[in-house]
Amino acid sequence: MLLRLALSAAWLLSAHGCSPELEGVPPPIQRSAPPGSEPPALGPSVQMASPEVDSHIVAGIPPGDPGSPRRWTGERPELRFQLAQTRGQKVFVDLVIAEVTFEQTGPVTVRFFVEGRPVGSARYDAPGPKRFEAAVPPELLKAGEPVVLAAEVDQVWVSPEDGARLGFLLVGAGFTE
Amino acid sequence: MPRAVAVLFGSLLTLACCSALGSLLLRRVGARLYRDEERLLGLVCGASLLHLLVFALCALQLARTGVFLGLGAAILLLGWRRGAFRRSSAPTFPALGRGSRWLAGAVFSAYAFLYGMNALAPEMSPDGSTYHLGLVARTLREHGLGRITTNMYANLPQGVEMLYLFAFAFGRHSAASLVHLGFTLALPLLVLSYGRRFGLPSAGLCAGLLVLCSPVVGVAGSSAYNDVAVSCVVFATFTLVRIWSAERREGLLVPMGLLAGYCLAAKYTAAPALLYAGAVVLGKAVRPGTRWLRPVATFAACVALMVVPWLAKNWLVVGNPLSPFANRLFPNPNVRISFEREYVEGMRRFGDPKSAWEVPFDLTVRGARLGGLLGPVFVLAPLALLATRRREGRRLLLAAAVFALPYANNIGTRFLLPSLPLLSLALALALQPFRGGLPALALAHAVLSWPSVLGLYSAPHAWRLEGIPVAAALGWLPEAEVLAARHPGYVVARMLEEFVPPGEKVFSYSGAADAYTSREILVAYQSGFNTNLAEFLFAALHADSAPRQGLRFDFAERPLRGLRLVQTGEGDREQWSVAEWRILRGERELLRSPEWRLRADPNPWDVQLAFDNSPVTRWRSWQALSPGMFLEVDLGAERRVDGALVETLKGRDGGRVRLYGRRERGDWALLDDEPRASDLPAAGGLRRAALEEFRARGVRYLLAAPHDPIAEDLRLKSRQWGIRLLAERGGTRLYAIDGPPG
Repeated sequence: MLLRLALSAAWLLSAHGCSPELEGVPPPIQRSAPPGSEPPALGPSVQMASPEVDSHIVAGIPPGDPGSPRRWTGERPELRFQLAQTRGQKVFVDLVIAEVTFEQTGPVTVRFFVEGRPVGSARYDAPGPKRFEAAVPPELLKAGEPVVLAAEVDQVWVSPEDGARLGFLLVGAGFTE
Repeated sequence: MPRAVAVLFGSLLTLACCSALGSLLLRRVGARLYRDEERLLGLVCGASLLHLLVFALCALQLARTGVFLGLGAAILLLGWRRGAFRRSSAPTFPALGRGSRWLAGAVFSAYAFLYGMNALAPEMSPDGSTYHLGLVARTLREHGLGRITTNMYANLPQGVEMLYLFAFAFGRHSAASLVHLGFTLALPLLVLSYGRRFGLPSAGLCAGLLVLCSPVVGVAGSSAYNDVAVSCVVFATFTLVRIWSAERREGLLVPMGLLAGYCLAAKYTAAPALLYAGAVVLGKAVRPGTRWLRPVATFAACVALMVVPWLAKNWLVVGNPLSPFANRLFPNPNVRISFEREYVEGMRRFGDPKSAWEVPFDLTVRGARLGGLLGPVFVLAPLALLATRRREGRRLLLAAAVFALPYANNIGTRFLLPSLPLLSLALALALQPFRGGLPALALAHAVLSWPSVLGLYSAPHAWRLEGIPVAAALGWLPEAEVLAARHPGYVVARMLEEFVPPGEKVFSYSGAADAYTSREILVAYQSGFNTNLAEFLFAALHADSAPRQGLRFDFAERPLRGLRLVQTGEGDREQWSVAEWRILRGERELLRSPEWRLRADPNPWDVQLAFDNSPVTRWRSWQALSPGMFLEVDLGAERRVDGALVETLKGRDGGRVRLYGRRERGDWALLDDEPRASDLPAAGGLRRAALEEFRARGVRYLLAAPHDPIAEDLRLKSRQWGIRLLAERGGTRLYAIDGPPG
């Protein structure tokens, strides 16, 4: 018991070692110079399951559960990306036309835009997973700056309960070389 | 063991041990009390002793359930053998009138049931589920009072929490709440006993009911707060002081001193009760020609027995016996002087400034802005001044005023509780001459304070009991389910438990229900260490908090052993900070060498932050700048230098600085007192630099509630921060800080 008491006291007293105000302290480990610039906040593409998805969404995609592989879009979802270079880039969008909305809307046409300029469209006559891909003229893009990709669906599903307007399920989008 | 059984076992064992110890003490000192007083004062005196025993076990790292069980069994056995549980032969008070008995019995039973069900339900009170029981749970996990320097609440005396710890070991959270309830129910009975002893039975009965039914007493006293228990200790101290003053029985000085000391050991804001008791003892005992030393020494020694352990623990662990206050007197790295000032100022206002009318109205009727309400009948409190016509009334009001002194520094309703029993007695005394006035007052208060009635007039979000949670209390609903549905902090705590490995630390601005997680949460404002982390984040987010200005000092090249940067400016709130201090020869910086010795005054503990080459760290004075503050470098030997560059924030935190130097032998000589200011280029990569500081300090997790200042930036720029989202619950996100790139 006495030993335990002594150890406890020693343990507490160890809080009061040499005092820096009396002795002074040496310089600490030197931090390396900062990299000068931070990595870009945005990547060239994003999957909905990615923890970074929120930073890519501009508009038209309501909040969803983190980690969810698919997110509902509204009529015109918009996402932003950042590219290291502009030549030879293709835009891609992975989406799903849901059966539940297709029953009401029937075939839908989705038009795709980069920086507000059309880059293509696709008509979907059946529900299921789809992929859109198209080459993008380099003059539409700017390296190192946010580039906005939009998709506009011509028919939306309207909820009879709260009037919510749903386009399609988005899986991923972005640019690839 | 079923939850309810464990809860009841833990709480009843604790209260029984308190009673046994108190009873033994009072018999030992030969106190001549009435039977009711013996029980009630015995409970409180025993609490002081049990707290001390538990503290001793914690200091010995023996805080374990088995040890507590052994201690409890030994106390009960001793009490049984010495007759602590036998029917006392002490005299009884004259019986109360039949009507009074019925009124008091009905109201007491109803409120005891209301409070009992709430105490038995899962603990989810704001402070109870965070620091009161968070620290209790940690003490039990670590088997003792750890060296906690990152949570200022750990520096508050925990006299009541030691009792909670004893109960918690068996019945977890709700057992602690039930221990508090024990004192909540004892307090009104103690008030009644006081009235009966001093010839005021009707006033005592009315005052006891005023205390019992007060909504803030109910909500605090049926949870793991400590305020009502503290009030009970304070009132018990006052009662013993009165009895001793009347009887001068020397043996009473022992329980009196223990209780007076226990006031401070339970809560700093109860310290006036200690001062009051000490003043009475000195005033009555120290008379010319009397042998005063022995009684005064007895009282002082008993006080010291209770107080010294807590002061010593604080002195040893955080370098300030009165932490988290008095930091100017006892400077330390754990609680900043500027923080203490802002904290006290904040508590004085309790949020937004309030008008003179708002405070009493909120205290008595609304309960929205000051954390609970006393009850609308306390609008009549000014009438208590009528009691000054009687000596007893003056005595009560004087003590009430003394016990309310800390209220000036914290205007939350709870901080009036030490005075509430005395104020209630004085009010009842003043209204006693009005026939039927006291029963009407008590009955009106009981009706108006019942939760369903309270809801009709109090503010929608007033802190109060909402009803009788029978299903939750009796375990018909699982505890986890109840907590998950009603306590967001619990959900976050469980997220930490699920995703953060044991032993890891989590930085947060808002915290979580610490009592439900074993992970250490570093809440930004709760210590100097945590505040530094918040500062690093702030510097990364806000350009004006990163160094953007250079102060260049130039002088003729010479050999120097030391350089000292001295502040000559003065400010009320403005602080001095130095992000980086570079010593120059020509245009080149002298390489920082391990032989160098760095000093600063004030805040010597952070001086390395001005010499670490990080763009997000800085040394700060953490108090208003004043002449004589300095930073100093001893270069280990004479070195040839001709300048210095001090990097600071632009346009603030500067004051006026001078640079001094000294040779190997010789005094300090002025080198330059007019530095040239210039703009520094903005540094990049600040977010990663900030989190590098986190990693360097062993912090690898960030918790961000939706309203936190950094939440949006973390969400949108996770790549730039270098963090990974691990989970989200109710909008609060948990991130892991990734390792350094590549």
